[in-house]
Amino acid sequence: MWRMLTALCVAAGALVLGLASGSRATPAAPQDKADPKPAAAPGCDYLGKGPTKDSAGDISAGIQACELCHIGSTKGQAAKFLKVYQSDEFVLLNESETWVNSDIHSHATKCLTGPLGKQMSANLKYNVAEAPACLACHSADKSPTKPLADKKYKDFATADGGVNCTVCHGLHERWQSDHYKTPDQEGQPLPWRSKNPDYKWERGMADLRNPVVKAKLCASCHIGNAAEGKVVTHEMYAAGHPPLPPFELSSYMEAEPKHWAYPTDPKLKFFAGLPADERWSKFHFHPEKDESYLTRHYAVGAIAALRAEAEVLLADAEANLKGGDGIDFARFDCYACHHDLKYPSERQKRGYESVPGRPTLRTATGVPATLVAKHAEGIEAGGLKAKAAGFEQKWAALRKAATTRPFGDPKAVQAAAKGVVEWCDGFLAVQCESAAPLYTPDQAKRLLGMIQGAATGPSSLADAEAAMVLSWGYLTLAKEAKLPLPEAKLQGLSKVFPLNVRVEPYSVKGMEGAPVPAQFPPRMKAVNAFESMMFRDAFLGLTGGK
Amino acid sequence: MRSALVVGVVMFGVAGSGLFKRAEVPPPPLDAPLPTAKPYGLAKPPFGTVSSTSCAAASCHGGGKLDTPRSEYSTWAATAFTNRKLYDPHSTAYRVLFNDDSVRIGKLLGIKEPHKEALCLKCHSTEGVKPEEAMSEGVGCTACHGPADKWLDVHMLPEWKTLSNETKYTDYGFVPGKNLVARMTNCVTCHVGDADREVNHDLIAAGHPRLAFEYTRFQFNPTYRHHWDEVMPQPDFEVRAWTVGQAVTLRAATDLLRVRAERAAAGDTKTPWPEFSGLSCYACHQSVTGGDVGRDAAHPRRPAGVPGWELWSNAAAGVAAELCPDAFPGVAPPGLRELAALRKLMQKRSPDPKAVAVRAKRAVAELDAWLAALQTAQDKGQMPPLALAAPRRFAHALAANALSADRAMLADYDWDANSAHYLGAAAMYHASGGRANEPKWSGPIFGLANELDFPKRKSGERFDSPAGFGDAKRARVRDSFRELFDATSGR
Repeated sequence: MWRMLTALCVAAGALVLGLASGSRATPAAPQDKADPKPAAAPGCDYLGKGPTKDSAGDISAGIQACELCHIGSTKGQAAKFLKVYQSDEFVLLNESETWVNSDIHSHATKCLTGPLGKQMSANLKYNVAEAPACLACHSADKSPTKPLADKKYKDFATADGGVNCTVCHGLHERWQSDHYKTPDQEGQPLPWRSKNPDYKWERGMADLRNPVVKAKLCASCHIGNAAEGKVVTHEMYAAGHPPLPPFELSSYMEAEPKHWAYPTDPKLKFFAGLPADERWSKFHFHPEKDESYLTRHYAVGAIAALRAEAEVLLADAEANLKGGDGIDFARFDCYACHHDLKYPSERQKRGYESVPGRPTLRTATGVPATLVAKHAEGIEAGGLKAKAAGFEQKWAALRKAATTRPFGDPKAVQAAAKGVVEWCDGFLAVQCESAAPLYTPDQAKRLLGMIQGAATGPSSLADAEAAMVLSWGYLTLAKEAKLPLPEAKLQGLSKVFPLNVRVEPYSVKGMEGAPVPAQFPPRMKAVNAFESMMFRDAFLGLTGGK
Repeated sequence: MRSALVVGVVMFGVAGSGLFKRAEVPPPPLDAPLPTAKPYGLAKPPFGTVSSTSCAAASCHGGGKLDTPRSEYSTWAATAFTNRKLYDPHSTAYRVLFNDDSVRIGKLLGIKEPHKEALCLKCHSTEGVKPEEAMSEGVGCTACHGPADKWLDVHMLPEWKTLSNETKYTDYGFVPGKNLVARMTNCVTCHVGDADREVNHDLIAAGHPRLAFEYTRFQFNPTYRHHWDEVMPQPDFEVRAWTVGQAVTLRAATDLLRVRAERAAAGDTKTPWPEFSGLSCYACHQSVTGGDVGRDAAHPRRPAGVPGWELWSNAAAGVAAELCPDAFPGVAPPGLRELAALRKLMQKRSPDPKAVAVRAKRAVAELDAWLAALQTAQDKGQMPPLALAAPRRFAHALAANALSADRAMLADYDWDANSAHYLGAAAMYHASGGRANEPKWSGPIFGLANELDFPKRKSGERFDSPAGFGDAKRARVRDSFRELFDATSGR
């Protein structure tokens, strides 16, 4: 168990969940123990690599192992790392404690047996606490590469009661034993710490400081990932699964009880002393003055979310081309259909992009991604501008394919979704590879201005979720940019919808049961009562436009 | 008192959840023989038409004394009323194409002038009428009574009365409205739709009200000014009208499904498939509240998250089928097994249009045979008066059908399904003479009307859906049906 000290080096990552890339978790165990040749400018090749079958099931342990060091104690084995290796200047060392006590992810498995889980089991006629389709997101999936149909209950680690450390940081036990290995000679630094991300990934540790890795991992559950069997179906929603809230990475990070720290945190002394060329290559880390940390996450999160949506849609379309019951309702915007019919109708006043009455793709994913793509057209660094071109056309083609007939024409959706995924990959590759700071403070300000414009512009005005996700993002980035956010004006906006991504009490120690249902009704109430002009006034009031 | 009932669900109709039989029956083989009988009145008469002015002579139907015989046109015509609370909306069908709603609908659909658009005119005007007469015509005399070119002269002669209803229709193109099947078969060409005209979801999303036809609700709507008197007395008329209405509406909905499925199967890209307007509106058009998630457990009939097909016309039709001999002595209850198989096929997100087209065609044949039997029963001559307890039997059966077998919960949580049962029960209550004769029903009937009604909004705004129809309201609907069940048992 000593060997399972795990996370010492894990550090930053894992906002919420977080493993690697579109394909997760464990890679093949390396054949030799020699370090791979460090790349001069480490790329993101590993993002495309998935776990292999050989490594499936090779999960080391649950949180007990991590807790030996990451529990915030200065005693026992942890004391050595604190004293000899100053590990608290590299990570916080109380990660497990934060996760257990405050992090909603620690409830993910437990909630399957709570009141809502029981109700869903009754409605679905299967036990959600044992169903692979549920456990894929609600526990630690030990075999992410296995097709969903082949997965069994025993493929999941459920003992920790939630989405535990290994889900985000990596399943393979190899890194877990390596990351706390002490050097042969006293006085040397910990060997693991000096390795680059490729090396660590080859041993199964996800590079969660890389915003792309983090965003793709989060999106794999918070949006979906068909290859990993993580798809919320309309049947599940109808049986009671709460609608997934819009995914906005920077706001989710802000809301998360953090077991990692921002670059601005004075505790992270280790990074302050790093040579500039190592900051990005080894740690995917830019100091605060070079880059807006949260803006980069906002941008990467928005595109990763769109990519995840497009990929789930693509998988559904391809399955349907082989025969199926049509693309699942859940791939479309919930509120395109789910609204009470009111007259006068804001929808009818606004007009329709396609034929009236066709379910559309999710506005709350499309609007931020469109903004980020447009914003990127003004970023020369890293060649981002060139990669950003052509977004509008590809995204419009997918929207059209999805509405050309009710619930989309699978063939047209297939082609258009591929185009969107490709575009997203090009964008994310720059984000991953370019060592140049992309989201400088000036660029961050420009994006804030664009979010403000979009939030009060005609396309998102009439959509509660889009307004909500744009507001969340605006508040998060404005806070980082230290813009004034007067309390009275915030209260005005909070009357339109909850401004917090999370609703307390989440951070209540020992809380059992299902926290999600607690925040679900207020959010739905806001969505249902949304009135665009009220929102516009409140938002303009807050942002100084009025 | 009826008015309150009707107001409960004024804008929209109800329809049905339907199981005719609770037990699962295997679908009949596709080569099983089908009945061949069909009612007359289905095919469009191949005759020319005349405008309503031909009917409006002072000595004919334009006598000018509202609500009296020989003043039918005067009673109907828009120009005749001074009190808009009581009028025949058919007379204003054309002029609504100029109002704000119609203009907006047209704009959203790319239609410049709705009053010149065939899609709209098919139901909002009378076929064959000159454009300059369209305004005063609306949905005029011949739209319902049949194209008059051939029967206009003849129908004033004494011989006319010697002709059979079928002859009047087949040889002259006259719709014999006294026959309830012939009458309603004509109504549903617009009020449900057919191969020539339909209100699909594109149109509804642009702002056209949904269709929700239930004959007795329309006929006894307190704002509807009749230009005729029913020959058949109550309760017989309404019990029979409700029964026929169920059969005719369901037949039209099924045939419309057939038409859409055939087009989709043939690869017609202009036909949306699946066509949402054939599905239960408020299965989708309900707010997700976070509170009401237990409803699916209550009904084993549809997979979770799949909207029901035509619950409006299916839900209560099983009661009409089962109790058919009570309303039309001598007419056996139809089995409707093809229809059950069709409903099963439709329990999918994207049903296979080919299979649906085949099965729907067979279901229509089955329904046609039922309609033919109902039609013949009425044409054969005077039917014996119904037992006084007939409405009570129907209401009891409707309450039972609206509930699960143990009456612990609703048979279907869907608004359309429950409203279909409510409207049927309300028709029976009205047929019985209401509170004076059936005081015990009035509580549950008005309770249902109240729970199923659309909520009110601020002035100038309205809901077109049962916003807030959640678990709490459903529980009260269930209680009202239970109460109605108890109040109508015995005797």
